[in-house]
Parts: sequence; C-alpha cells; structure tokens
Amino acid sequence: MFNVVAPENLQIAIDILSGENTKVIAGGTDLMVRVRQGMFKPDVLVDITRIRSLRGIKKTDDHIEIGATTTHSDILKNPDTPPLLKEAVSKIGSPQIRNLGTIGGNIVNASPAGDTLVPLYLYEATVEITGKGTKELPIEEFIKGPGKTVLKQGEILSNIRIPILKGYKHIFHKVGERDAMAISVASMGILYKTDGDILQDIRVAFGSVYPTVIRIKEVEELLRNQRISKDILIEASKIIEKNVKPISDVRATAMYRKKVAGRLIFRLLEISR
Amino acid sequence: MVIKLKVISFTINGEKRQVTMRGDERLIDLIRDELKLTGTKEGCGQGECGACTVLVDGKAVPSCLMLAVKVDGKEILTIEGLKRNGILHPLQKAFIEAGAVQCGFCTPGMIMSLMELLSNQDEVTPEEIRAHLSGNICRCTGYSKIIDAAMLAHKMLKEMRNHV
Amino acid sequence: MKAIIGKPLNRVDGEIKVTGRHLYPSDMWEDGTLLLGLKRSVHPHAIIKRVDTQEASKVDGVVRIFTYKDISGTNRYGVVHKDQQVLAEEKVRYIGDAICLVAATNREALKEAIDKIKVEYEVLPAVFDPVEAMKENAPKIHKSGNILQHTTVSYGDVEKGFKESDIIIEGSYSVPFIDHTPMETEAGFAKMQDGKITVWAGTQTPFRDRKEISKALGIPEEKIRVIAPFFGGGFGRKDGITVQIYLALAAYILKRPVKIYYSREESIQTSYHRHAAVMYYKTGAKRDGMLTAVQARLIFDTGAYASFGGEVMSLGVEHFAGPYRVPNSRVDGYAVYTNNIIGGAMRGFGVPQVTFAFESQMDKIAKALNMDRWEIRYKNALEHGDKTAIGHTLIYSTGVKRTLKKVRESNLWKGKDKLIAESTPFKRRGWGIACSYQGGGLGVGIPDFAEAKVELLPSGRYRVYGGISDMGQGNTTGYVQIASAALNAPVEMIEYTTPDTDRTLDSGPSAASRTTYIYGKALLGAIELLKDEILQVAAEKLSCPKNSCKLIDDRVESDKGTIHLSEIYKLLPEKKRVSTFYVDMPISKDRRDIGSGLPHIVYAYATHLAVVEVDILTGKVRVIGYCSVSDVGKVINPPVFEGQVEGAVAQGIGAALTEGIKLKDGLALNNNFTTYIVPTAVDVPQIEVIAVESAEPTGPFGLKGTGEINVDAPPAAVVSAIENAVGVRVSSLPVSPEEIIKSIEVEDAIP
Repeated sequence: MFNVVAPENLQIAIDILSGENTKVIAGGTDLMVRVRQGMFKPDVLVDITRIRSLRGIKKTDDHIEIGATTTHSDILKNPDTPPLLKEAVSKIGSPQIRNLGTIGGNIVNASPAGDTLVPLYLYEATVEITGKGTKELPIEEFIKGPGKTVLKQGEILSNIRIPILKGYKHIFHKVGERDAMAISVASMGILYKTDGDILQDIRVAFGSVYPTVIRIKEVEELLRNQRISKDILIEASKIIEKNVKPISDVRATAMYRKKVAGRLIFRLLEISR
Repeated sequence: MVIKLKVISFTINGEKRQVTMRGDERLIDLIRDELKLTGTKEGCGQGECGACTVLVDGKAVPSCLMLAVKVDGKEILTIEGLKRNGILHPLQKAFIEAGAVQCGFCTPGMIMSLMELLSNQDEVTPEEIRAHLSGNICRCTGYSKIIDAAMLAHKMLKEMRNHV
Repeated sequence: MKAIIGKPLNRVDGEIKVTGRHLYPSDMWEDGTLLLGLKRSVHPHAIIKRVDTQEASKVDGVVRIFTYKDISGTNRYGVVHKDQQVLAEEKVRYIGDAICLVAATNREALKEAIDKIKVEYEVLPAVFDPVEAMKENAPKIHKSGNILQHTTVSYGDVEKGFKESDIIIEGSYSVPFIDHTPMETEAGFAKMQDGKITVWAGTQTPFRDRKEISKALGIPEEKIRVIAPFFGGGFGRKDGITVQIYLALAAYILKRPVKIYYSREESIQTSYHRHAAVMYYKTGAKRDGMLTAVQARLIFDTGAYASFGGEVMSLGVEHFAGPYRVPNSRVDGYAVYTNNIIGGAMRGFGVPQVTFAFESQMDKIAKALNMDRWEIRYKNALEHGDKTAIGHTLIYSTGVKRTLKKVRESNLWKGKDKLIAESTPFKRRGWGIACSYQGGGLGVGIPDFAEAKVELLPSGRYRVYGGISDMGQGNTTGYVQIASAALNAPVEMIEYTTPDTDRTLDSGPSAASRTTYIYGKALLGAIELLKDEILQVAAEKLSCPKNSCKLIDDRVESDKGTIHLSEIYKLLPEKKRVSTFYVDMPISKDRRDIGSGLPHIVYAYATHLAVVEVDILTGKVRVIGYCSVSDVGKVINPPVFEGQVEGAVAQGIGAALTEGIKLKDGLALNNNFTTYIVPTAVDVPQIEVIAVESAEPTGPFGLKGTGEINVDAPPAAVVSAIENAVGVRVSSLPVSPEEIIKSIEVEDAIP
C-alpha cells in the first residue's frame, strides 16, 4: 500500500520527492509491474503527469525538446519527432502501453533493452535533471548501468534535448521473441549519411547486448568514408562481437545476442542495393 | 504508514461519479470491484494481454497498470458503455456477425482497442488492424475473424458517418 | 430465423459477451464474499515437517486458514489415479503443490497471510529429466515408482519390416511443456444454497467434479451442485479438478460465499500443461517410398502427478505412425513422473507430440529418397477399410487422401511458388506440408456417453439443456442449431442452458472433439421423442392421423386445424413435456486390449500447408501463409468450424515458434505473458480454411468433431517449411533462432 500525490507544480513535486521512500511515477507501465511482483515497495508515489511543463514536444532551430512525461503515442503522432526515435518508439509494447508509457520513464528505467535509448545515444541527446536547480547531461553519462542512473533523491528527469540531424538516414532493427509486444533481445540502430555509395558518416549503437546501450566507435571508424561491401562488413561484424558483453537470461542466450548483434550490421548492404 | 484518502471525480460511460480512494488501487480495481462493471477483464495483471483495455479520454489504456487516481477529471469508456438505448454499437454487431467471439474473454478488450482505432481513421487495412491489436491476446480465434469483424465495423461506421 | 444445418448461425452467447453482461466464473461476487488463496510448496520435492499458521491467522482480514486436517474425506483427487491431495499431508512433489487454503476479506490480507505462513521442509532429492527418472536409482516420487504407465503395441513384425527396407531413417525429437493460457485463468465462486454446496467454476467436467468433491471432502453427492457457465477458455486445462474442491471446502465450512481467481503466474506454475516428450523414431521404407516399418520409443513427462499422463501417452501411442499404411510397427510409450509441473489434458492429447515426430520422419524419408514431400504422403495415406499402424480397421469415414488432394487446389498451394520467389534480401522463404489425424471420443473402455434433455415450456418455446461445457468452442450454439433444424422452429424460440448438475444430465467432459458429436446425437434422439409426444397429442386433439400433422415454428398444423405449442403444453402430461435420450460413443470393433482407451474409431484428418520466411541474419521465422484442409465430416456451422481451425492453427504456430515452459529445477521461469510468448495478431497470417466433407454416418448430420485436429500439424508443417527455406532441420520445439543462425554462415548466405 502506498500514498499517491499528483501535484501540478514541478517545485512542489521536487519538494515531496526529498522524502523517504518516495518515488516518481509517470505512466507506471514498468513500475506497476514491479510493484505487482513485490520488487518495489514505495511509501509515496509522486505522479508527475499533471505537471504541464513536463509534457510536450517543442522544436527549436537546432533541437527537438521532448518533455519527460510525453507519452510514446504522442511522440509517434508528432511530425517533428526524429525518424529513428519514431521507429524505435513504434516498437515499444503495444498501442495501450504506448498511450500510457512515457519517454522519461523508459530512460529512467535504464534497462539495457529500453527501446528509446539506442536512438537517443545515436542522436547524442542530452537530458535535463531538475532538483534544487537544473543541469544537463549527455545521455551516456546519465545512465550508469542496468537500472542505474545518476538521479539522486529529490531529482527528476524533466526534459530531453535531441540535436536535429539533417541529411541522415537510419536503420533500426529490434529482435524480440515476437514481432510485437516484446522486450528487445538485441537491437541495432544506425544513423548514416551517404555521398553516392560512400558512407560519409555513420553512427552505430546496440541495445540489450551490454549493461547499457553501446555505441561502437571502432566500427564507426572502420566504416566512415568507405564503400559498403560484404568484406568490410565481415570485419565490422567481428569488431562488434568483440565489443558486446551480453548476458544469458530467460529470453535468450549470451551467444545468440552476440552473434545476432554481429550479423545485424549486414543490413548496411541495403543502402547500396 | 498513514494512507491519505482522496476523492476523485470522473465520468464513466457518460455518468458522473465520485469515489473515495486510497490511491494505490489500479483502474481495473476501480472499474470491476468498486463500480461493479465486470465487462473489463483481467487476464495477466501486467499490461501484456489487453483484456483490461478501456478508453480514458478516448485513448486505449491497460487498466491493470494504470493507477485509478489518474482518472480524476477524465472520461472513462468501458464495454458496458457501448450499447445505447438498447442498440448495439457497430463493433459489437460486427463481432457477432463475423463470428469473432468464441470464449469471449478477450472480446471487451478487443472492442475497446478497436474503438480507439476506428474512431480516428477514415481508411484502415487489415495489416493496420493487426498492428493495432498486437497488444490484445486471443487464444481461441487465431485472430482471423476478429480482423474480419473490425473491417466490417469500419465499413458500418463509415456508412453511418456518410449518412449524417 | 430457422437454423439450417450447414449454414452460418450467429452464436447464441454472442450478445451477452460483446456487451460485457455475461458473468464469467471470475466475475462472480456478492456482498460478503471471501477471497481464497493457496500457500504452495516452494520446493520441487520435500517432506513437510511443520506448518505454522499462527502469525498468518492474526493478519487483519483473514477469516480462516485450512490444512489437510480440515478435510474429512479422502483428501484425494485425480481423473484416473487419485494421487493428488487437496491440501498436502506429508509430501510435496512439485513447486506449487498446495499446502494451505486461506480465506480473507480482501486481496492484501490474503497475500500477507500467505506470505506469513511458515512451512518447514525437509528437502528431498528431485528429478527433472524423465529419462533420468526412469532409472532404478532415481528419487522416487510416488510409492509406486516413477513409471506411471508403460504401453506397448506391435503389429506385424517390425524386425522383418526393417530387413525389407531399402532405407532406414532414425530421429530424436523433443517438445516442451506447453501452457494452454486460456484468457481466463482458473476461477470460481461457491456458496451454500438451498442446503447444497453450490459451485460455479470454469470447468469442463461438472459431473465428474461433483464426484471428486464428494469423495475428497467426504460429503454426499446430493449435497453438492456444480454449475459451468460459459467460461473463458479451457483447451483441456479445466478438464479435471482445479479450484472446485477449494471452493467447496471453504463454502461448506465457512457458510459464506467464496471466490478464487488464479493470477497468470500461479496458473502457469501450478496448473496442468501439455506433456513434454522425447521421442525416438526409426522408420523404414522401400525405394518407391512405401513405408515398411515404424518403431518408436515415446517418453512423456507427466510431472508430479498422474492427471491424464497414461491416457495422453496412449493416444500418442495410437497415433504414433501417422495416418499412413504401416505393415509392421512397434511402439513403446512411457508416462513418467518427475518433479516438474504437471502434464494433463491439452488439445490434441498426445497427438501433437507424435505428429511432430512422425511428420518429421516422413520429410526425412522423402529427402533421402529424393521424393516430393506431398507425393510420399499421398502414396502411404490411409483409406477407408485399411488397418492403421497399430492394426485396427478404419470402418468409418477416412478422408486423409481427400485432404491431400484438396490442398493442391488451395490458393496458397497455387500461389506458393510466386510467394516464395518474392522474398526480400536477408530473407528466405519456403513451404512445408504435414498430415495428421485425431481420434474423437474418449476411447475403448472409458465410459463415453451423453444424455440429452429437451423440454417444451408453457409459453410454447423449447429449452435445450446444454449438457457439455462450452468454453468458447460454440457447442451450445450447435445444440440450438440442431434443435432449430430438427424441431423446424426459429432459434428465437429455443432457450438454452449450460451444464448444471441439478438441471442437465451427465454427458461427460467437454473434451476429445466430442462436444457436438455425442451431445448432438443424443439431442436428436431426445428431440425425436419430444416431437413424437407433441404430434401424438396434436393428432388426438385434432382427430387426425399423426402422420398428417406437421410441426412448424410454434404450432402443429394439419388439414384438420392448427394447435399452438402452448396449448399442446397444457395437453401433455407433466412427464411428457421433457424428453431425455442416452447415447454411447461408437467404439472400435477390433478390440485389441491395449488399455487406456485405445483405439478410437471416429477420426478426423487434416493436411496443412505452411509458407514461412526466415530472416537469415537473426534466425527469426515468420509464417506468411497457411492453409488447413480438414475432414471433419459435415460442417454444420461454417464460421464456428472456421473459428476452431483458425484458433487451433494459431496455437500450433505458437507451439512451433515461441511457446514452451522453460524449467529450472521444477520452476517455470517464464510464468507470465512477457516471458511465455503466445502469438499475437501480427504473428498469425490469414489462414485459408478448407473443409473436405466426408459424411460420417454415426455423427449427428454427419459431423465428426473439429476441436483438436488442426492443432497437431502446424509445428511439423512449419519445420518442414524452414528446411525448405534454409536447409536447416529442427528436431526440438520451439524452433530456436539461435539454432538456425548457427547453421547459416552469413558470409555464405549473402552473395
């Protein structure tokens, strides 16, 4: 049993959050599952979804800003949502889950399999933390490990800022036990820019194969300014297998995750076909 | 620990209600236990199966995951709210006509999910219906006739809209 | 409207379900109802040294905690072997074995109390592998030893058959425990009513339940009433005691209404499942493809308790070589106890397991002989009058060859080459085929009967008493349809009930593809009797010969006049307003004393065609086209028939690609829908459904029974298609993407 408060003011929420065993709830799609399993026993839940400033998508000249309690559905509906993020979010859960779940919740949950995370790492997004003051951090500094962020008691994730990338195309592939309504077993995101059939720039990241999302710079360096060919991808594949550190769990073995991560890179062959 | 009771006000199936809650109840508990509307079902308690789907402010949500207090000031629509003045909603008619009801336990959730989809789309394809229903599990039908029912209901709704 | 046999009829229970009005067992509640829950074993094999309920009983809201000491009867139940205890006395044999029953006023108190019950165990060594469990030195789970049943059948001379073979193919196959995952888990409600313990439950067997409750609790049957409303799915899971005895015990002792509703996790861990099995096959054939000999060793893991272990294994034994002519055979079937979760009845009942094995063998033979996979099946397929692989004669309709012929006329067959050629980069497509057959009814030696009841009401309407549980398959609608056609009356005139031990007559379980077949037969008999009484009275009243009177809608007409049925009601003596009729299931005349219900005699047949797409990067498989051709005798209600086919195929696709309980030391690791993966609407393609109607003379209007036949073949068809697509032969289910990518080197697969 727990108390729930739903303030409409951010500062009031922050004040309440400095209390003991007091946690944030947005949509609750992850939290309520953990409450049911007995893994999470808060005394007070602060529902932040009534705080207007935390919700909504804004476009500036060079950034997209997404409020932390923006639901996945709203992210999908908005024409300004960066395309790779849109594709990844479309694969979260089900329509019902997407109506309730939020991007902030997905980030703070910090699951290695979190579907919003691969795009956010690739876009080099930053997150805003609000507590006594506000500060901004790159997402890879915000998430420390499975389920771990740098958030302290009395702080919330308030906003996400995504630099607008012009001229980049994307590839996204989520492997789950099922095509829909599945937790990712391995996922790959790529942002790339081509000049003819040369890869001018490329960013590659994987989910569910490392304690956090992993962006493999060694692969990016290998592929940057190269023509895509089967041979170079075989090399990239080996680098990927070396760099990932997946675990075995009820959904898949570490071996499968590693092999699949290495194989997904071959999707780059699509851009030259 | 002292639980502070809260009073929430909402509209359900067109009716205004006020309920006193502890705050940790789920929306499905409010609907089934407090309001005694048992048409909404609990199939898994984890938001995976869709049997608990209801509409809150027109959006389909998993009521087994949503805190009840979140509906304060909002409108809820459950399966019981579809039949008006003794007349079945086209979705209800279509499910019967298309043979899409077997054990029927998934049916209310399916219909409520489709309420959201078909209220917002002029054209719809079987693939879109399947994608929209990916969070509603059925173990009896293999989904074929549910897709048929959705297409039939869509046709019926379009005809109704064109006649207005 | 009047129902026409063979034409669609909307489900009679459609409206109450689409409006949310129908009260499922899990919806039932009234003021003062107590919630029930179980304290269960956390060890797979242990002796209970002590149970301490002191702290738990002090929890505010707890009304009573029951142990086995509160049970005056045998405290035992089980369909065939009464080896399950209502509440454990001394020993627990699987994780989930029930120890205490708790009654509380609310959910939180219930949970708190269950957590606070302290159980001291002496942990015993456990065994989780049925092959290990069969060994002499394995931990003994039951006093009788770990082999529940060994059934062996042979026909001809299998050694001679192998000697005459040109090729011999061996194979090992394994399938895991499968969960039915009905959308409504085990649930029920009970209270004392009119001096009787009245139980409403999701149950496929209300009459058997009443007997079980009576014996277990030591209460006379007359004091017990069991009612089965329409409930949310069963597929075999609710064939047998689940929650009924807990409900009866609590209602009886507490004299208050009580309710129980399993969580999904509790349901998956503690209830029944399709048996896991390992199967070793040896098949011999001549160069021209004719089978000469089939030998198999089948080991079914029945888990901690017998349930239907022996019977499921036996049905697997009966069907072990497929719907083919096999002149020499030998099969050894074992049902083995382990400390795993319990294997019980699930749609197919042993046949899905062996179908996967024998169809895989057929594919292997075809490949070895460089023969077409359709061709080899057609060559060997059984015909009417043939003997099956275990040596009994098929005297009733045998349509497997027709299903094979018909599949070639399907749109999918005609379009499969084009569909396969349309494959995209990194994907490979292929097609697969599988045949199956399924005996209907409970089999030789097991009482398999129905007794139907139909009544003329004062209003002149009729009431059909639905004698067999309707878990969604639509048999009640079938009864109304049959009645409407036979009585020549519109369906609006026909009321119906679902089973109720006080009002309907024992007609056996809702299982074994029998629910419309056997009850429909009995219903036709009861209707003939009632019609006769009605026409007799009409003839007397109108002073005309009986054969000039016609029953039309709500009246009897003759050239001498018309009488409304409400008038006839008044003229009929009370006893004659109700008719009943008893029918036995036909059984095989070649009574080979095999035991456990072998063999059956009315079989349904099917041929399935699957087209799959394999992602060579990830090993994931999608079914992109599916066609089912089944011979189920006459189809009386096409949408209901199609619904059964489509649902069974979906379950089969789940069993093929994603389903299977992952056990670790007896614990189901995947006990909820995030981890036990069943197909959603995007995982199942549109299914082409074709019926080959070979009229079965023994069935009502020629029908045979549709419930199970289409769940058997999908895994084999899918696996056949995967081999066709990427050359990988899968021998254990579910298909593992990891196994597929291990067999496909990316460098070789991409040009």
